[in-house]
Amino acid sequence: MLLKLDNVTKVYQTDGPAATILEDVNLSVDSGQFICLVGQSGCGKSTTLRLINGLMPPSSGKVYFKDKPLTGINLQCGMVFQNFALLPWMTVTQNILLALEARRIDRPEAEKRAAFYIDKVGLDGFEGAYPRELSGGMKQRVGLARAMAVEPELLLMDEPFSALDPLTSINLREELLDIWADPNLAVSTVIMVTHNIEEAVELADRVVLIGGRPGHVVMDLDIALPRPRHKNSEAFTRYVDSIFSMMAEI
Amino acid sequence: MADEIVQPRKFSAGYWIGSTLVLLAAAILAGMLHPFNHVESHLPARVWQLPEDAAWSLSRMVEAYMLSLIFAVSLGVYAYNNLRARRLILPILDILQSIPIVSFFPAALAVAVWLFGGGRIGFEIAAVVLVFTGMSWNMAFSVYESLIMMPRETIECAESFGIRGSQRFFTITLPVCVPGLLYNSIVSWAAGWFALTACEILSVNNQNVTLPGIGSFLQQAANSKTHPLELNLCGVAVLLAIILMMEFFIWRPLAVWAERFRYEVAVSSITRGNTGILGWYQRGWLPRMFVNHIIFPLNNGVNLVIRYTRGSTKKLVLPRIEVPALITRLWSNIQRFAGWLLIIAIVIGGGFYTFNIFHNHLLPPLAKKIPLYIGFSFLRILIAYVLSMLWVVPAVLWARTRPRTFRFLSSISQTMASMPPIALTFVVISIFVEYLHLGYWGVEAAGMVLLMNGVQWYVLFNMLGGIAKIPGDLKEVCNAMGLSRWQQWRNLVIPAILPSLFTGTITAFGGGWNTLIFSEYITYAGHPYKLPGIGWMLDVASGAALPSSGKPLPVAQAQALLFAAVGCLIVLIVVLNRLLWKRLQAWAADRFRLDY
Repeated sequence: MLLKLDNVTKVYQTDGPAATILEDVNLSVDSGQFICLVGQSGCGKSTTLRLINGLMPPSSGKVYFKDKPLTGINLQCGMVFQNFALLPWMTVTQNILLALEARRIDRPEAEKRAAFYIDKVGLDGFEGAYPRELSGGMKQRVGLARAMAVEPELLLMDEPFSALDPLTSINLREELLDIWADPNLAVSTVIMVTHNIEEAVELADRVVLIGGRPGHVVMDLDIALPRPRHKNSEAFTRYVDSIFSMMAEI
Repeated sequence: MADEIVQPRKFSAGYWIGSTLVLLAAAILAGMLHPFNHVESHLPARVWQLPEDAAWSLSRMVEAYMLSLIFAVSLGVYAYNNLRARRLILPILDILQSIPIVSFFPAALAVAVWLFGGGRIGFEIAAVVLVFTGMSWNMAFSVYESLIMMPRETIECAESFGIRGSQRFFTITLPVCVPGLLYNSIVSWAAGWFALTACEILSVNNQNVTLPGIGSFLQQAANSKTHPLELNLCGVAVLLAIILMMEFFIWRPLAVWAERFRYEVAVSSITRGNTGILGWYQRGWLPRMFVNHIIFPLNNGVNLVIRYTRGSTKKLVLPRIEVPALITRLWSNIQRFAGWLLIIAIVIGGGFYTFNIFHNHLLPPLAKKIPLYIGFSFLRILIAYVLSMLWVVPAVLWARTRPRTFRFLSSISQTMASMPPIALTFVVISIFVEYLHLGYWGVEAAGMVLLMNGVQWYVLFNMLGGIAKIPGDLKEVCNAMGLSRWQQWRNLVIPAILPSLFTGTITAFGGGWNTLIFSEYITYAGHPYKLPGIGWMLDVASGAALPSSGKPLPVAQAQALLFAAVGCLIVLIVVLNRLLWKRLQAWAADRFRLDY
């Protein structure tokens, strides 16, 4: 088992009364799965992702990565952010190299990898461009390339397509699936946060619905559909409907 | 949401402490190698010495600026990283920012003279430190504010990818601060030039020490009995030339370059403009030669050393030293209570000194007038502020739709804010006192013009900044609705610039308190003109002016007077800031915020 959340609870205490965001969240993830965390905004799905990355500690309960409890940042994860989180003063290549250098990867190797992943996400020709010269979709490609370049065992994505226009996000979703299916690339396990149910059903092996106040796992659904998936098929719609009706019940 | 992670990991302050130590060591070394022991008490203003004087002043400014930069970055980063320290640092910075620079004189002089002896190097260092006290506080604030404004995702990204330590500092922390730091550097340089006169003529034990420089040149020129006007004009011309050259060759290209460090895409109209110089720096043959033959080899050398040391530390396994728990606990407690210890030390020290003052009757009779004089001075600043607003507000509103006027106003405000008051005295005194024969009220008017010069530019460039920040879509929607100019002013422009107006007001009052020491005691052609006010009193207390009796105060009395006057001033400024300005500013910033 790659990842296990064991009765994870998260309480925020910012001036005022304490707010319990997550309560007793249990989740097990095997290698090679593509998991989508869905739920209404404010339900704690982004918080769950940050707990998995070790960006914040759980208030109680434990996060296990490869059977070891997590005590700090999990550097075996690569994170893709909703608003890209690119440094505006660095070029595409520099942004990616930064993450590699943080891991003490030798310069020549890092440069080779950066070039490889820039090519993989279809950004060749833009190596020297600054983020402000790129469109939203291209910025997110850089974010994706950066996260993959560290060759993480677990790719975390926080609403990666929600800041993009529909057409761009459709293209990027397809490319993400290609990349995930590519046996030459190290990324095999993905946990993605989204509020778009159709997107979740289209991409994921497993959709985990988080809901309630405080948030907990309401539904854990395997999507047994062959790929490529067709949005208009009856089975697809059934999955979407069942998730929607579950959401309405919370 | 995720407040806990906003606190990044500990930043290794070692770099900055190290560089400060190196700088200090270099200064001490320079002092030992080059002992100036000849200190002039009076330098005649000679035109042919102007270039040398200018060079001296410039070097003092550069040194003070470097010191400010190191100080601002380390303190700003520390305040950002350390929640506990922040609660102490920010209010102290706030006070330091608004008390007149003259309050630092005795401490700076005493320390410098104690460290380096009574030779010239001691006074040089004291002067640099004094310029530093006029430069650094706003820069430290800006570092802190830039870091606070950093998008949360950037911090999470750094954490998530394990970017930390020096890599984090140089690739994220420092770049984030660049735009704010640059803007504040320009303000600080102006403040530095402004205060230069006071810093180059120091008074120790009622003896004046004059350091060669453009500030002291202007002072001596104003007191020259033969050619005050001509000498003054020469000095002002040289100063103006330096300021304009810096604007053209340094600040403008830097401003264009710094645009890339901004998070928002909008390019303000202040920084747009001349990119030619930047292009030349980047592509011209001379800079390229400099880069290719000096910077690159240097850089490669440094990289080689880094790679070598990094390679060796990789193999070297450091033994884990178990630090006794007692020591670590002691150390963390020291860190935790350092702020309180500092406060207690200040309170006890101040208490003892106050007791000493009253016990030994050190306060001169003049001290009784402190409240009255503070009242007079406050009234003067208030009038100067109102007079400034009377022309600044219409000018800003008028310039809003006229980019050329806008640019003209912003460059003139930067240049004029740099003019030391002494550079203007010859004009105001000759007009109001010598030409119009207005007597006391002539001096009052001359002082008011000088005071306005220390007040109005702050309001002006803060409001110009506010105008530049109004989002384009709001302007468009106002035009699309067909609002008249007056309706636009009332409904868009004035609410949008209110936060900047209050910020400008706070800085303007700070500038006003700082200017008082120049505007309430003016010497021209050897004749002193004084106005009853706290500025004059501070001049007397610091030895720059003579009290009414004509005899300088004994040192102990002068120090006691300075202590009492500065103390009262701090209380007033803090009360005003807390009760009035900060509340108004917070209200305006909250009510008229431009994001939603």
